[in-house]
Amino acid sequence: MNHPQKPMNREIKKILVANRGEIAVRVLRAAKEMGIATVAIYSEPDRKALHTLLADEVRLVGPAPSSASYLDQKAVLDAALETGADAIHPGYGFLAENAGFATLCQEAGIEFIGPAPKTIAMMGDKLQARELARRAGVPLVPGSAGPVDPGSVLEEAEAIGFPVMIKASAGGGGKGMRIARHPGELQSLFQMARSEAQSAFGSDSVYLERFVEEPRHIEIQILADKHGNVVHLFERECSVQRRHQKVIEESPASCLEQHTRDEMAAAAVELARQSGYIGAGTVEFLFDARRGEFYFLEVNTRLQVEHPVTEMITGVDLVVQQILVARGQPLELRQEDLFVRGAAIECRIYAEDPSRGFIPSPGLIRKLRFPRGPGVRVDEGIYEGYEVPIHYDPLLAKLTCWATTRQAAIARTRRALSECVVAGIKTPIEHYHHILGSKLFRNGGYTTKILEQIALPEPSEEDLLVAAIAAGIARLRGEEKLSEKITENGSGNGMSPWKQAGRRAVLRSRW
Amino acid sequence: MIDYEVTLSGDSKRLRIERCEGGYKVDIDDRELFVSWTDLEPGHHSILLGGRQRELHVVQERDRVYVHCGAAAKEARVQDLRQRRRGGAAAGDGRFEISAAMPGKVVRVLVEEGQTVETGQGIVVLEAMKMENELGAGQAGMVKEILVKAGDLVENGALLVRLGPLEKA
Repeated sequence: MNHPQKPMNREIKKILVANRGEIAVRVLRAAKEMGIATVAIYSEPDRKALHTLLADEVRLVGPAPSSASYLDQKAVLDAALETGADAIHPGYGFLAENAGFATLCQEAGIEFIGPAPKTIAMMGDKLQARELARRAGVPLVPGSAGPVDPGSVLEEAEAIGFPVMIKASAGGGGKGMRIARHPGELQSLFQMARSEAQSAFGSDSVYLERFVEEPRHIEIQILADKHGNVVHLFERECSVQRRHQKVIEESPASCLEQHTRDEMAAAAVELARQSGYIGAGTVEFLFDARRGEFYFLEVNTRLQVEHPVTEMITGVDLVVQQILVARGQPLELRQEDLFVRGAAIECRIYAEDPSRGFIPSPGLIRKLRFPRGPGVRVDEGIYEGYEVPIHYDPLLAKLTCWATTRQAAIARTRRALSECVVAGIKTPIEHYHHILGSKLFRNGGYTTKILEQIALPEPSEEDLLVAAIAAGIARLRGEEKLSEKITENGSGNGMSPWKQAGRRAVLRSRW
Repeated sequence: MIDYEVTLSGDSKRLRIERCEGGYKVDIDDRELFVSWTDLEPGHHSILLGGRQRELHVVQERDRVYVHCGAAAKEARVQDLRQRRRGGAAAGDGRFEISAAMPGKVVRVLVEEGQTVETGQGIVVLEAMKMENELGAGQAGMVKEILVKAGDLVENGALLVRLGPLEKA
């Protein structure tokens, strides 16, 4: 296996998009606009998916389970080699942050649109990323320098400040994790965390970190080329979350002091410089509004779902930039040319039912109308008549609205949501309309607790009346249509309208 | 003229609907309303009610009618009262049935036939869109019949497990 040196200017004439759904569509659209040929990959049930329909060439990569199709590295790479694609865009999720796959691409002489494999690997390792952030002078959540023992735990905790989180050094998945709110409960929680860590990871080593209560989630978009140029494209606020999943994002962040914004951006750029970052990336921070401090969380070495809000306020097409960087072109964007214009909000339209604990709602989309009008953008992976499969992520589409001020952007997003129809399955459109209308959201400065603080919408009497009347009339009309069909063909002979329709069709074909 | 019972958000209303010139006459909550109705395309309508225009998208599925109006989406259950009187809608007792709340794959069946279960006890775990959901018993009872096994793909609303009343000792 040879390791070809990356030429500074490499041709990209054909891109394979190693993803599905709205993000695959997003990337295909950018490639087409750049005059680049496109290849989509699809799993067996995705033959009718929108991304499969919008590409010039398509390749089947396997059956329904992602592990056997979109995550099958060899199948994806073979598809690229067979079609002669010179680059692979991974989107987000699936193979986007897989250093091994990026290496395979490199070895095969195919450009992986993203950072170098070693950068992906480094950022994927929590402790390594933390160490890198420390070296770059990026603030970390205050914590103990290393593992703590029973003798020093109280002293360390008091130095950090309560509440503190006790975390397993080898940890993950919430195991060996405890929150101590008072000095009095520290020792017993510390012992519990240690024994849990011991049984889960075979090591009772634990360390302390400050527990940030009700944080805000703010992230900085960065963009770097292969020549050492780095710019940031300001922040996105992603504090509207449920089960750690973002649902509504906005840019700029509401209620953030300019110096905090500048410091976060400078920290992100420094981190990118020191790690030799290439391409688009996002540095995530927790912002503790009570203390006015921010802490490094992690780096996402890929395009984010919520990238459209940044595109709307800066006018920069991030996917086009990713491709230009991959070609080896120096960034034409300079920091002093970038500025925030207006405000943008993104709503993630998922196939899920907010009234029943957000359970998934796959199925046939029987009616679909996306909103239009000034400042409205839709990134979608669906169409009317498409059946949303049960196998994949429930994100159907993203609605992103831009306006000159935050309040105008809220009003526009609510207007757009009120014109958005996705029928046949459940979506949180009504829920979002309600959240955006809440005082908590409108005032800004909300935290990741916002969804717990806002009750589900209570339907108005008038809405219920209209719905009841419409449902009743629709039912009556449905029955009338059936009986019309029966009388149309004479007495009906006790035959079901379906049989009659079938018979009519047969007769017609005879004539 | 037909009488319906429409159930919305757990609240039932009786409607008497009669076709008339340009629309429908609806009796609801002791009020008589005139609804002007215009078809735009199948399942897409515009109504005028008390001077207000409303654009509707309507999807029907068996006795369910889904009405989309503005950002709001409402699910209504519509029963024809004539049919109900005739006993046409003699549905089983839903509390004793565990049905799929979404289309998906059966990951695990947590009970065995003949076992007694308590209200809320997990019966079946379904998976869709990379999320697992546990379906619980609507009420205490005995597991009478298990209609699915792990790995089965099920439609929304499919009957998975049938419970029976607890046998008195």
